[in-house]
Amino acid sequence: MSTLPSPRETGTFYVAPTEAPAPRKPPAREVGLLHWMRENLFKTPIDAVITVITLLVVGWVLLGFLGWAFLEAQWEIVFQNLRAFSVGQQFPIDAVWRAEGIALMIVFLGMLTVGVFGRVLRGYLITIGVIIALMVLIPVMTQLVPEPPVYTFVDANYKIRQVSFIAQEGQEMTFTVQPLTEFDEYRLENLKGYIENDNQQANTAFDMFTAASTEVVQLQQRDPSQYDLSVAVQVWDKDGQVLAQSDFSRGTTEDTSMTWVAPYSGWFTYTMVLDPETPGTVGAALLRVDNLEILRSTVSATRERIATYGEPPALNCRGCATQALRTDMRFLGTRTLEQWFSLQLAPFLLETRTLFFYSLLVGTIAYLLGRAGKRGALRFLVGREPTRDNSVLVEPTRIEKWLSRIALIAFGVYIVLQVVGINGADANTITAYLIALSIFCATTILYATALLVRGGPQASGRAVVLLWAVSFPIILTLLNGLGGLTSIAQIPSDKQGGLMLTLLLAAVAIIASFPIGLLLAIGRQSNLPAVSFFCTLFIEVVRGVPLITLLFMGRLILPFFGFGLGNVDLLIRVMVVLTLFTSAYLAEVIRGGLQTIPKGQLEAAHALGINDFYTTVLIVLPQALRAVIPAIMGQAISLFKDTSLVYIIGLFELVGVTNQILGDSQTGYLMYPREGYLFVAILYFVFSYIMAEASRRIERTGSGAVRRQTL
Amino acid sequence: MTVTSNVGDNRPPPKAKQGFNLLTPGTPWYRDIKILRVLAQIVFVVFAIGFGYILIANLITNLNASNLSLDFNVFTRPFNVAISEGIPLNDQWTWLENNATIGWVVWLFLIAAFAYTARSTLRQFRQEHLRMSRWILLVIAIVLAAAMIIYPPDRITYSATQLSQTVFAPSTMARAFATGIYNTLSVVLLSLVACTVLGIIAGIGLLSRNFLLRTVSVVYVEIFRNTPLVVQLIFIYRTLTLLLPAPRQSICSLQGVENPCTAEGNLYILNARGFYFPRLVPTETTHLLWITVFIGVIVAWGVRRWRIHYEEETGRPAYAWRFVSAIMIFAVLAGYLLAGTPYTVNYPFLKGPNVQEGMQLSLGFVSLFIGLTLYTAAFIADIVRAGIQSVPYGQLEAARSLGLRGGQVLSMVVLPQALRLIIPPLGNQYVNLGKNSSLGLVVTFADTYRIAQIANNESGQAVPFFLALMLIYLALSLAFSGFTNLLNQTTKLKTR
Repeated sequence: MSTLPSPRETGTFYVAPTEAPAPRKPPAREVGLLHWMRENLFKTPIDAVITVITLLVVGWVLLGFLGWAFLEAQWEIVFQNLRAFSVGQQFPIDAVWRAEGIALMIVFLGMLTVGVFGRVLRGYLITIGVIIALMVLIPVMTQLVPEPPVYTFVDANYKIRQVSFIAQEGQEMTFTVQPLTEFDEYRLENLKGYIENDNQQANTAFDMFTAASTEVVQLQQRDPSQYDLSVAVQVWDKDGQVLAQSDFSRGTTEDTSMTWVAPYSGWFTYTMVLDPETPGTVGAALLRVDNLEILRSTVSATRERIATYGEPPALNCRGCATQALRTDMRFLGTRTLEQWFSLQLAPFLLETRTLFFYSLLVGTIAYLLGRAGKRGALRFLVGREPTRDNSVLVEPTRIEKWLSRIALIAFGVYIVLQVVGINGADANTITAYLIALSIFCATTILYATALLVRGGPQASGRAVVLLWAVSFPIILTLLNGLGGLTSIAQIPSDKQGGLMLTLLLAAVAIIASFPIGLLLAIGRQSNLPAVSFFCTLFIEVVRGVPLITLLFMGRLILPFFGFGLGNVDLLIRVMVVLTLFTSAYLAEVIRGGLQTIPKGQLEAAHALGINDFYTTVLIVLPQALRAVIPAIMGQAISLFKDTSLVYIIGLFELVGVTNQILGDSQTGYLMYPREGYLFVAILYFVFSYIMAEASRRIERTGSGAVRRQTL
Repeated sequence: MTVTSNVGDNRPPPKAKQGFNLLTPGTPWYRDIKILRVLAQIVFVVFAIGFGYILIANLITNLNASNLSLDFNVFTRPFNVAISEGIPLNDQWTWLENNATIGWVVWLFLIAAFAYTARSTLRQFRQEHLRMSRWILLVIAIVLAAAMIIYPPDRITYSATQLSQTVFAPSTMARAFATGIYNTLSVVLLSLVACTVLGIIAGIGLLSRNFLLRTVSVVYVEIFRNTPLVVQLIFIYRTLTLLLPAPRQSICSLQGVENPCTAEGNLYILNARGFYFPRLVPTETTHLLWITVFIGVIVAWGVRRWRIHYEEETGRPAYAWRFVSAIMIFAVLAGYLLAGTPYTVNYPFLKGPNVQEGMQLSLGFVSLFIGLTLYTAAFIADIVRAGIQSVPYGQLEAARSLGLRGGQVLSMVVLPQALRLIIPPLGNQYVNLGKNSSLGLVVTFADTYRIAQIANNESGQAVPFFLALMLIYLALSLAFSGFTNLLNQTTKLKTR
């Protein structure tokens, strides 16, 4: 047997070379951005046309919107009224800590729930990191952007304005008197910067300048070139002593400026004075102040300021003295992008920063606690080995049993006292109520802590549910307060409002409507025709009419139904109406779930001799409810949005409070409804989106299907 | 053999004594399920009715105590508040109010239609309901068409000065409600069409392969679904009032003329009071056009049936739609020639501070229309997306492998299957649209709810107005769901 020569030797076949060919670059249109664009934007000619048209439309809309939002919009209405947006305009300032406490509590419980039942994805962490970085960086960076000048106005006919401000030691400020001698200088749109405009006073600089501008520009009654005023600038200390004065202008049409360095930190006042000898009769001038720090005007900032620098100067000029507050300074002209950051975004971040960092801290702790509890890592606290074996639920210890018993008794007492009516009760009842509530809370929280320390998914899950349950009476007590107690005084419902009221209405309605909706759904499915008829009638009538019709009833007709409903607060009546409304919708959702239960389940239950009641409670409902969790979440979102309707009957939730802010003649926000409602829309969007996202994740993790038992 | 085996014996077991048994034999009555069921229901009904009775009795007592005793004649009281827009009912509807017989017939018909729709909506739709409903719908359509020809709808809005001079105040509360219903229906029907079109476009956009279109659709849907309609409406309304100029500086379509807004021939005039468009005004010969068109429709219907029959008989293509279109075009042309000038165009123009003539849409109407359309279309888009996605991809492949073209695949394979899933939730959205129209209140649009509110402020009679509101919106909701059921029946999978 002779061996054949290998093909490589004979050269009869093509043989692949042993070395790989040199790598070549793929065609440019097959990789990278170009390829992506070819695939996703210009695949077919029609696609290209659609892309171009969409690009034009979107570009037009987006450019218009962004141009407005960054260069023209006045977002002061948002960050000046954050307290009103969150708790309502009439909410007592001393009670704001209660609202903040509730917010932190909800953040704690929410993140604990996420820690026990879910996981924070890396994307969220990155987002939060970026937000923190921005919150720290932007206020620092915007220190570099110079504040726009502040203008005030002088005219021979009007009273002269006095503006108080705070300067730091060594701060250098420039005061420039600008005589208005040209036609264009009177145009309102040519002025760029703040002009003093205290909304609570008549004839502010803005009003005077507008009036002069109308006279000159529109009516052309005055010739601007005639000018003979003799004006000077004065800076006073707190007691009205003159610290510095510029020279009188004596009819010169040139700008005269004065540079002044603050000798110490504290309150000062600047004003213009007319020459006592020859004040002049015609013309007007603007005073331009550079490097003046505008004061924050929220209540907390005011308190802080008084604590540091003392009370602002008491000037004995009625209706003409004001402070350089942000609310009293009106920005004219379009601004630059840096100014947007420094004037609009930075103040917002400064206002929200504290609460944001606290909630971040609390949230992180809660999340870590939840994770640790789920993994059993907290067991070292009671001297046991940490374990990840979660399958067996250990018998509760004797202490735990006693805790749960005490908690139950205290809860009963609490409910009884609540029903008896706590608000009109005497001091003894209130004390009893408080004791019952605290025992209930303390024991439940201890029990929940014990469960969390024991660890494992089941125990920590129970702990979370218990904590949510105990949070509800605490939140209600904190919100409404108790009559006769000074530390948590009662807050009348007409003083509550804002986001807090919106969330409260939504939470109460969705929780309270659940049992009613469940009963209605079962009633509608019932084989007793009378029960089924009444349930169907209720459900269909409520679903067939708009919510505001029912709210109309709640406001105008419900008080006449007797049972003491006439004395019931409007807020409670609205809650009742919202609950009934939601229960009809929930009933339909739950009915959908009931219909998914295969008939075999019922037959099997009957075959085992289980009666109708236990079949429903133990077999049908657990499966049906689990199947409709996403739909219930959808209902919750819809209800959350629908709470915006209660403003129509006079409650100050988010929309109502915005209306209130806009309509307030003293604050002068009437021209900025777009900014206000856009902010409200963003708030609604954020909450609805979070709920929708949670619902999607619950759906994805298979809670819609029957739960996998680990036992 | 006397012993027989039961195996293989298919006879039913011997029945107990035939006949009517009130009680189950051998069970005491208090444990008999039949008795207990009846008892439980009696107790339930007694409780329900008793509770309702107590409520109503309390209501009447308390109303009397506060000098607001219940008065259902309140609808005949004068309504003296000016409404910004509506249909002037003062002369056209007197015959209905004065002629008691016609009034009763109309009311009975309305109640019967209401009850019938309610029944067919709440229960399962049957085939005979379908046939019956079609006839009812046909009758309603013909009556409406006739009414349109006799009394062409005429949207009238009044400016502030006109309101103070010649007040458009419907003379009675009942007429005010009729005006409100007319306003509600006009905005609902208009935005129903608009939101369907926009929703389908956005829904297809959600599934588009084009990245830009898809992203835009997703962003649109998410934004409008996740914010309350009230906020959207107020935002739109306040933005329009801020941005639109005062009437004297109106925006007009004419260019290059001195004072374009006062000239004749503007296709639109926009200002802070409203939007104004040209209007078609019927002349004396308008009915000739419509009668011809009606005859054309009947002929076209007959011809279509004949063509389809022809196709079924011979197997040749019928070209039914070509015949129908030809007949319709011919009918419209003939009618137009017969009538001479069936309509004249009425252009709006600015006179002093007011815009006169033309079709006038108030700012409230425009805002409500835009808001309802955008909001509902976002929901419809998601429904359309879900419907189309539910069609298995294999269906498309199969259709393509049979050689169907793109349009044919869509119209003959995808849509018939997708529509089955789209229509029921779509109907829900229409019902929601009808209910949401009551938010015209927040944009000062004179819809039913606002009329009720004004009427209540005038008279303090909350209960009758509340009942009227409930009935009107229930009727609207039931009519929409009845219509959807009908549509659902025609697209449902036909099974034997």
